Amino acid sequence: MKEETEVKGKKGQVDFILLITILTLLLFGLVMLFSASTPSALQDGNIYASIIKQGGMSILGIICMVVAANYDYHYFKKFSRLINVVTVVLMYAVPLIGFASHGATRQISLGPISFQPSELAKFSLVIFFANRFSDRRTSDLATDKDNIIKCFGVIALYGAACFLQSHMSAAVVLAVIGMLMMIVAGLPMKYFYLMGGAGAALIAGIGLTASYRLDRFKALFDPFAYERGIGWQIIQSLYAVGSGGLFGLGLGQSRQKFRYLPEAHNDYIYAVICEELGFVGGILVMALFVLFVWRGISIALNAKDKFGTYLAFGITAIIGVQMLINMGVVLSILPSTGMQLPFFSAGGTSMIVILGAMGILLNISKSSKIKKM
Amino acid sequence: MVRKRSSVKKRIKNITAFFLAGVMVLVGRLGWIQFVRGGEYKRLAAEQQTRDSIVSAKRGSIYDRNMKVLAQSATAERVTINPQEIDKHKNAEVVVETLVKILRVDEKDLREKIKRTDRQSVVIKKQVEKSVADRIRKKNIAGIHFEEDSKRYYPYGSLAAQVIGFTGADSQGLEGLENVLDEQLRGIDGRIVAAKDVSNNEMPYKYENYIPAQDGKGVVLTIDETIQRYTEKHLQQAYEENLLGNGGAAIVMDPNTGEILAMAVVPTYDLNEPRVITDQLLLDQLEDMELEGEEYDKAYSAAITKMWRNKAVVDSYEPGSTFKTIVAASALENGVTNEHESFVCTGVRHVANRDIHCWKTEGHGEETFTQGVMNSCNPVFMELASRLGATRFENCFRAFGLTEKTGFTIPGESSGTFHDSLGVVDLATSSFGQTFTITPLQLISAVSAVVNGGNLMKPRIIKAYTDNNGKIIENFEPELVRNVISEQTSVKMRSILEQVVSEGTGKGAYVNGFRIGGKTGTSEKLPRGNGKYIASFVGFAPADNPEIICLLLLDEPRAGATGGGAIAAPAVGKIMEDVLPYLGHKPQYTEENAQAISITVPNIKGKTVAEATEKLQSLGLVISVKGSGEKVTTQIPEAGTKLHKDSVVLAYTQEGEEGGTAIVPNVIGMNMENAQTAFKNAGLVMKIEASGNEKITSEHIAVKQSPQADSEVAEGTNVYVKFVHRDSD
Repeated sequence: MKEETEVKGKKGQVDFILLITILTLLLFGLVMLFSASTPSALQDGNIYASIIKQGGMSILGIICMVVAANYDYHYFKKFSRLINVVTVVLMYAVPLIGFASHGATRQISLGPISFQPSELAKFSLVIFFANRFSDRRTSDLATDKDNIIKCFGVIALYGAACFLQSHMSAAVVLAVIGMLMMIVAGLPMKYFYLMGGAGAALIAGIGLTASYRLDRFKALFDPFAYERGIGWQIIQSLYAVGSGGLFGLGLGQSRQKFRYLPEAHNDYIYAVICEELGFVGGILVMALFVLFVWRGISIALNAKDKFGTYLAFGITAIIGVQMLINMGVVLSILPSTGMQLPFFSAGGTSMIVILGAMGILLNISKSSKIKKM
Repeated sequence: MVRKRSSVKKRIKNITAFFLAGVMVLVGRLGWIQFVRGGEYKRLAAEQQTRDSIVSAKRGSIYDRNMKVLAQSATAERVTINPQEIDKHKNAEVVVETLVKILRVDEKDLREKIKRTDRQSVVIKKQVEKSVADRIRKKNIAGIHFEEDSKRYYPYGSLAAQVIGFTGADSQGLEGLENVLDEQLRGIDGRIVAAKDVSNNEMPYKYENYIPAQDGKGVVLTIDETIQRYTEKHLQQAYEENLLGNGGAAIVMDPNTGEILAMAVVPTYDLNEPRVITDQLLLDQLEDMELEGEEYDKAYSAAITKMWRNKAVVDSYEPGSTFKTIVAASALENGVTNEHESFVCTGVRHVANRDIHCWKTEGHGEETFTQGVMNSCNPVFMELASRLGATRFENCFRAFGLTEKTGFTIPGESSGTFHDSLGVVDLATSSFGQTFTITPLQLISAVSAVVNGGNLMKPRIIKAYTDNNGKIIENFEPELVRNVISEQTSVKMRSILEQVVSEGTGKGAYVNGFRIGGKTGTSEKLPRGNGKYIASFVGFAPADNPEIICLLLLDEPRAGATGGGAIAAPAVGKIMEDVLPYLGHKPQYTEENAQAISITVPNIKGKTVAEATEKLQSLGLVISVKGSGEKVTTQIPEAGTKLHKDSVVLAYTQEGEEGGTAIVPNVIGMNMENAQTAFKNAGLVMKIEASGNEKITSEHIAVKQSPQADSEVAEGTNVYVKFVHRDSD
């Protein structure tokens, strides 16, 4: 085995490090979710409710991953348009046929399970741009202004749908991912600054339309002034992380998860990790993500074609960007947005879609010229 | 193409670098939160995660020397509201209506509290009795909650109020022993630290820390409830009879141990309602000030503060002639005189270039030292002080502990003021207890030393500490401060002071059948000439072997008589008359007394009037025939009753004539003439109780009568009255 794994650029095999990293993240995520969800699960009577649901979704996701890993990613190039048309339709259908949960309508019901199209939209956009930028006719972002406008138009199309769903975090991820892919594709930096400025203005504008968003921003700098209001979750997150110290209170021993943290099993699960496993655990999770990003980027850099590069980069970016924003919020560097931590936060659609995307990434790695172990 | 592909890779690498930079920021931030700010966040988190419930320590009880409970704590409730809950249920009106009606709280105040929706618990009223709380609980109103609380009860109400003191809303001692002994009584509250979630429910962890409460110690006082009650009764009576303008105080002590058996102050108050004045005299005084609104409230609270004060310990005063006991003892101890030395009082003594008068301006004439003490003759004492000289006088003064606090367990004890340097005039005036001040407690301790064999004992009121079950855990023994005079001097002083009561100015304290010694005192309050006096008497019994000593002082008597002999001595006499039998002393009548009381009424029913008269006369009784029949049909009192010599026996000679009764009038304070008229009108016979060979003049007033006023007795019954000179001192 050892002989084999050290063969350079062995074709036809998935990146083993990536696979192990993904499975480690997945298992780690399930364990932490179980711990973080117990208090709220206890209230509902069944402490396993959350973990059974997430576990089931993970199995579904792993099936998707295995299928996708053995399914040539080039088919996504072919079906890019179809996928995106369906996604856009679903996105705009949400406000009409979706159901509300936690005060926002983001999900639609597919039989027994609920489905959140915005999770899918991130990958649809990645596929869309990967397809577009790998096609010589539409790859010019340096001089083709029409092309640039069209690309921004697609981001806006998805962004507007997110806005209709009051799902700002999804809009942010879509905008950032789209922008990153455009930059990689050669978007002149002036457009980046221009759009960045416009985006900032837009966010500021949106922020001013709803005073609660402005308060969230203010609370970031002085959470204790908003202790009973918007500052509450920031303070609770700081208490959780701060209580951890070097090794934490021990697995399952978080106190802040007892509904001090408003979304202990979701947006603030990283705070629970830091409280239970301390600095060591917090760094370990970051390291796993960094490992993942390193493998993802390596796959992108060594993909056998441009589509593979863009696709691998996009998928990796989705995970990396969400992780940065989520941890930024938990560590109160960024204003609270409702961003989930991939592999860790509770969420069925997200889990299935992410694992599916992992399958695609693994599939790309098969034909990638990277050093595999 | 290749160039383009490589630029794509370069940009991917750049973006990755940004990602890694972002991760580094996160790592730094994580370290900052966990290591730099960690301690603080951890503390704050623990604060919100733990529910720190106080387990209240039970406040110790206060007992009298026979373990009668004078103060104890009982469970009560604290009514609180949750403004958030009331806001949610929108039931503010119901809450206000109920609480205002049942708890009688201020409505405006309550509405303000309901508005504080940032809070989950606001206290509305503390120490609510369970029955009252139950009335609210029964209504089951959302937003009203109950917490455990405790309330202090004083089963004897006003008994020893100024000694015991009371507690506040949080059961903290505010006055008296409740205040001084707060630390011992209060105990140490325990805590339960339990983990709780955001809704205040317990976390499912074994994360609990229990620190048990240490209940407060019980305190056993040296006070005897019965003696205290007697003392208060007679002090109160003296207070009312003499319309005291500035209250009064009495201390009963065991002279041999320094144990306080009773300590009473008037006007007094109910410890269960310490902020209410119930004393009628005090209320009248306030009324007389004719104040309104705020001014009245101010005067009212000033009066309350004053009545809380333990006058017996806190207020220093000029002791007047009671102090002569100390001077006499010092003079005998230092050998500057003896009981039989002869003095002459001309009514005045020339000191330096001033004339200092005796209280009896015409003078006492020739008298022995003993008679000088009995007469409370000022010139005799000026002479003694002069013989002692300033230095010895001052040393004696110090030796008797009159310049230092006694170290008694009552807050605010004072030690009075004495001359920095004793001039000739100061020495002369000091000899009869003027121009310096001491506290009643200092005086009674000093006089105890005079009569107990010479030992100055530390006065004390705490006998022992107990655990919360009343079991004694710490006992306190009598403390000797120092030996002041010799046993011989003390014996002489006891004899002299007994004569003061039996024949001298202290006659008012004489109780038939008991040997009582004592000394009167009257001091004019400053500024002199304003007619305000403090009348006092210090008495002890039995005179040959004192077991109790009592000091009583009446501040600003306003009903005429102001002399200590006239008003204070009789009160002490009454206390002795009640307390001595309680302590197991049986009256020991002298031969003459015994004979006087031992006449047994014979049966005269059926006898002729002449026979009956002869029979009664032969026994020393007087017959009073009612009706015109020949034979006696009914007699009052019945045969077998024991009577004094010369008592009247009513003999009814006709059926239906009998039954004439009379209500004994109150003659206390009257002169002899008025008293005689009062008895005549009531159909009773006044008998003057023997009091030496002093001639009774219109200056003498009645200080004691037997039977008591308002008793219903047979017509013609003898009423014995004791008269003393109104200014006798």
